[in-house]
Amino acid sequence: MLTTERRGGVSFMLGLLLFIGVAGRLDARLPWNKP
Amino acid sequence: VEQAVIAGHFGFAAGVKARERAVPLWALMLACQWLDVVFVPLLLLGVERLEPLDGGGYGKVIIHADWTHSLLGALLLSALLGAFWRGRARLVIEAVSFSHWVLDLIVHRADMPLLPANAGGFPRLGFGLWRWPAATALIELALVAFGSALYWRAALGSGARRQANLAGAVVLASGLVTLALNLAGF
Repeated sequence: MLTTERRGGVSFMLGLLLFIGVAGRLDARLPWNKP
Repeated sequence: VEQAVIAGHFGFAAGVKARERAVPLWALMLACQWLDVVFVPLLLLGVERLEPLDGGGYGKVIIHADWTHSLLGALLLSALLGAFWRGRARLVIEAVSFSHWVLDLIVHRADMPLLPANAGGFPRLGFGLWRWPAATALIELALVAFGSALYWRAALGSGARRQANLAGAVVLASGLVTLALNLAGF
């Protein structure tokens, strides 16, 4: 069961890392985020 | 998580950023996965669980997420996350968080209750698009492609061409990598 539960975990965690950590930081540099 | 819809939610959030430019991208990305972010510790604690079908695989699962993916639970969790923002950003974060439930409703196999812990025993919801995994994967791909395209185009309109191209390419690539890994069973 544990193996089954871990399925999909890599894509989920990597997705969060890429979109929040990497893309989020790059986006924050764009001028549209300035108040 | 179990090879659920992952990339599609990110793609949707990228598209939202194109219209709601005052809301940080990271916040939209967190919001679109917020229900699953809360689901993971509950899964590890055994409060919520997964029931693989036919040995598992993309979409081959009944998800017993009776707290985080109940209609009322999703509304409450969305309101909780939204409480960290003010004004329009709060509404946008709440809506994007709740969009997770709506997108899941399309694909889940009638396993989403109305009330937390399926109180009252009402019929569970889910249109079951996962019975056709190829169609679901194509829709996820379309969400990633369309959402990334909207984001990229809007980012270019912000005036910083090089930074916009980098951010747009990373959003698109992240979506494609996430979807490919998910379909491959990782």
